[in-house]
Amino acid sequence: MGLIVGVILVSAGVILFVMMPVLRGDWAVMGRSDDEVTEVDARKQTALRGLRDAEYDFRSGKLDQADYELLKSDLARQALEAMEEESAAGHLIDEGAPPEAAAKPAESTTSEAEGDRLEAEIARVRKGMAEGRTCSACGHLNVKKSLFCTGCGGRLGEVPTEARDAVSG
Amino acid sequence: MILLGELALWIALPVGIWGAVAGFVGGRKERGDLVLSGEHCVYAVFFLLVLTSAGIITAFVTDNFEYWYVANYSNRELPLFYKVAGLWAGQRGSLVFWVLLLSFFSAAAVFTNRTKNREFMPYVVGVLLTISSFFLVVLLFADVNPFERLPFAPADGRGLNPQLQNYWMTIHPPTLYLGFTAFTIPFAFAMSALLSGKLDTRWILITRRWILLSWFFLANGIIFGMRWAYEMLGWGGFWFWDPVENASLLPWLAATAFLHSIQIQENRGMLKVWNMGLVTLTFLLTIFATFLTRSGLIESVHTFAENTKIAFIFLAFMGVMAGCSALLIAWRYPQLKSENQIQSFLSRESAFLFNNLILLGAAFSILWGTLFPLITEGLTGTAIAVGPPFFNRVNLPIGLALMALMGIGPVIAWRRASRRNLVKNFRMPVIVGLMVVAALFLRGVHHGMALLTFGLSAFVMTIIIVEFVKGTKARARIEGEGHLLALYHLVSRNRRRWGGYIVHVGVVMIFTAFAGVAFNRELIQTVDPGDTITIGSPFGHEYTLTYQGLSSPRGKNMVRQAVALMTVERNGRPIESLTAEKVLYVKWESSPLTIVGINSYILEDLYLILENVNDLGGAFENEAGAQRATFKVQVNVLVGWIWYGGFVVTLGGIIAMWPSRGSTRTAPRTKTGGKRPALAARS
Repeated sequence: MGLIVGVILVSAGVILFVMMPVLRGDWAVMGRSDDEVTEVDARKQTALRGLRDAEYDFRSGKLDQADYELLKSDLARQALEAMEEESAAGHLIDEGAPPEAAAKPAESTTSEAEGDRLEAEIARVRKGMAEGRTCSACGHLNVKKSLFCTGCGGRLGEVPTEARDAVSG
Repeated sequence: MILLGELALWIALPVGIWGAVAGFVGGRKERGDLVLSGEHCVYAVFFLLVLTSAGIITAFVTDNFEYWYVANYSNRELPLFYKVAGLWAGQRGSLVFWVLLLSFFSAAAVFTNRTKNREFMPYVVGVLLTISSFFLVVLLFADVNPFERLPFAPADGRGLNPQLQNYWMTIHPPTLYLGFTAFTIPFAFAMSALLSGKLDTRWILITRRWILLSWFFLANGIIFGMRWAYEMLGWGGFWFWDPVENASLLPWLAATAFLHSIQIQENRGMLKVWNMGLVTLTFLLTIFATFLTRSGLIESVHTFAENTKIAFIFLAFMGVMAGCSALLIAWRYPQLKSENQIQSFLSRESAFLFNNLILLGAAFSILWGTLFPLITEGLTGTAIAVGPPFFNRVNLPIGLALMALMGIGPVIAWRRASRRNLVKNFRMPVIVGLMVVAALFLRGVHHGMALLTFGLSAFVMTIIIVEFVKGTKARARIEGEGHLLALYHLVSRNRRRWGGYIVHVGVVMIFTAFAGVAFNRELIQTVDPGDTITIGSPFGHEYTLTYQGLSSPRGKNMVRQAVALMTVERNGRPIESLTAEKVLYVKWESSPLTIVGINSYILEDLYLILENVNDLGGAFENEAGAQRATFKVQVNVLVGWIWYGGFVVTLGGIIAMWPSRGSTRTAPRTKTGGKRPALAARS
C-alpha cells in the first residue's frame, strides 16, 4: 500500500512539475539580458586581450619592435571596429571619457586618428580603473559608483589595473 | 525503494523525451513555456535517476538476489563498500551510472544558466535530453534492464570479479565517467550554437570551464586506472594498451586538441569548422569509450559486458549523432568561415595546429590499433591482435613531438614570431637540454629514445621555468611587488595560461617516467624460506630480499589467502619489508588473484610479485612443506613520477579551472521571465 502511494506521489509530482509551465503559462527567459556579453563585446575583449598578450610577448622578448607595432595596429583596428559598432548600438558609455577623445569624430579613418582613438579608449579604461569603474576581470566600463560589474557581475574595485594585467600576461 | 527505483526508470524515459521535444520546439517557436517545461524535465530526470540508482544500491545492500544484476555481481560476504560500488560493476548498472552523471551535469548546466546565456538553452536542453533518452531507451528495451528479475531468487550471488575488489574500483570508474559525461555539455552548447546560428565565440567562452572539467576528470581517471593496473593486475606495468584503456585515452587526446584549438578561435577567429568538428569528435569518442567498455564487442580485461546486442544500438546512435552534427556544420558553413589566416609558420597558432594534428594522429593510430582485430575478424574470420609493440612504436615519436611542441608553444608569439627572437629564447633551454643529455650519456645512459626524452624534458622544463621567472620579474618590477606576491598575481590574473603551464610540467614528469621503463630490471627466482634474491638498481645500489615464508590468513570475502613475506635490505641496511599474495575470493575459487608488494622511492619502486606457489593448496592450508615459491622482482625506474606528475596535472587543472573573482555573478539580478506574453506581442 505504502509503495503504491509512493509511486502515485512521485509520478504525480513529476508530471505536475514538468507540465506546470505549460499549464500556468510560465515563460522562460528566451533572450539575452542587457548585462550579458554581446558578440561585439566578445570581439572587443578578444582584441583587447590580444593587445595585452602582444604587449607581454614584446616585453618578454618574443616579438620584435616592428612586428609588435604591426600587430598592435592590426589589433587596434579590430578593437576600434568593435567599439564603433558598440557605439552605433548605443552601448558605449561615454561618461568619463577624456574630452579630447569625445571630440574625435567617430568616422575618423586615418591610422593616426585610429591610434589617437585607441589611446583615448585606453586612457578611458585606465581612468575607469583608477576610479574603480572598469572591471579588471572582463574590462567592462561601468557607470560611476557601481558596486558590481554589469559585464560579468564581479565586485568592482578589488583588484589592480588592467595595465598590470597587460604586463602580468 | 527498489520498486520505486524501477518505476522511476520507466517514468524518466517519457519525461526525457517530452523535455527534448519541448526544448527543440520551444527554441524553434520561441515558446518560453515549453522551454521552461524542458528545463524542468532536466531536473526531473536527474531526480528520477537518483531514485533509480538508490533502488539498485538498495538491492545490492539488502542482498536481493532476485534481481539478475545483483545475483551476478554480488554475494552475501561482499563488503558493503563494494556492494555500493556494484552500481557501476557491470554493464547494466554502468549504463544507469552514466546517465545519472549526465543528468547531474545537465541539471547543473541548466541551473547555472537559468538567468544567462538564455539564447542557447532551449537547444542545449533538447540535445542533453535526447542523449539521456537514448541511454534510457537502451536500458529499458535492449535487455539490459538492471531491475530484470530471475524466475527464482538464488540463496547467494555469483560475487564480484576479484579484480574489481580493490579500493580503486570506487575511484577510477566514477572519475572516468565524470570526464565522459561532462563533455556532453560543451557538445550540447556547440550544437545549440549551430541550431540557433549564434556562432561567435560565446559558446566557447560559456563552456570553457566545462571542457576543462571534463579534461581534468579524464586525465585523472586515466592516471587512476594506471595506478590500479600497477597495483592490481600483477604483471608489473601500468599500461597494457588494452582496448578499454585505449578507449579512455581517445577522448582525452581529442579533448586536449580541442582545448588548444579553441584558443586559436578565441584569439584569432580561426578554425571554427575545425572546432565544431573536434567537439563532435570528442563527444563521439566519449560515447565510443562507453560503448567499447559496455558493448562486449572487443575482449578486454575490463569489458564488463554481457549483452552484445547493444553494440549495434550504440553504433547506430553514434552514426546518427555524427550525421546530424555534420549536416548542421554543412548548413552553417558560410557563417563558420575564418576571420583571419595564419600569418606565419612561426606563430603560436601554427604550433597549436601542429599540436592538434599530432594529437589526432595519435588518436587515429590508437583507434586503428584497437579496432584492427575487429576489422580483420570481420573481413577474414580471424582476429589479428595488435599488441603493445605496435602502439609503442607509433606513439613514441608522437609523444616526443608533443613534448617538443609543449616547449615551443609558450615561447612563440601569436600571429608572428621572428627567427632572431626564437633563437634568443630557445638558446638557453636547448643548451640545458643538451647538457642533460651529455651528463646522462657520460654517466652511462646510452638508450637513444630515453636520452631524447630526458633532453626534451629538460628543454620544456627550462622554458616553463624561464616563463615564470620572466613574468614574475616583469610584474615585480613594474608593480613594485615582492617576488612571491608578483608570482601569485601573475598566476591568478591569467589562470588558464599559467595553470596550463603547470599541467605541462606534470605531463613532462609523466613522459619522463615513461622513459624510465627502458632502465627497469627484472628477476624471476624460485626460493625456499631463508633463501635470498639479490637485484641491482640502475642507480648503483643493490636490494637483497630474504624469503621468510608463506602464511595463510583469511580476509573478508576471501576463501584463502597465501601471503609471502620478504625482508628487504638495501646495500646491507634493513628497509621496509614486502608482502606479495595469492588470494582466492568467495565464488571465484578457480582463479587466484595476485596482489603485489611495492616499496616506493623517489627514483624507483621495488616491486614484488608472487608468481607461483609450488603447492598452492598446501600453502592455503598452512602446510610447512608447501613453502617453495617463485617470485618476480622488479626495480621499476621513475615509475613514481607518473603519480607525482598526476598530482601536478591535478594542481594545474584546478588552477586553470578556478573561477576568477569576476566570473562569479555576485550582483543581484532581475528576473526577466514571467508569464506568457500576449499573443500579439509574440507574433
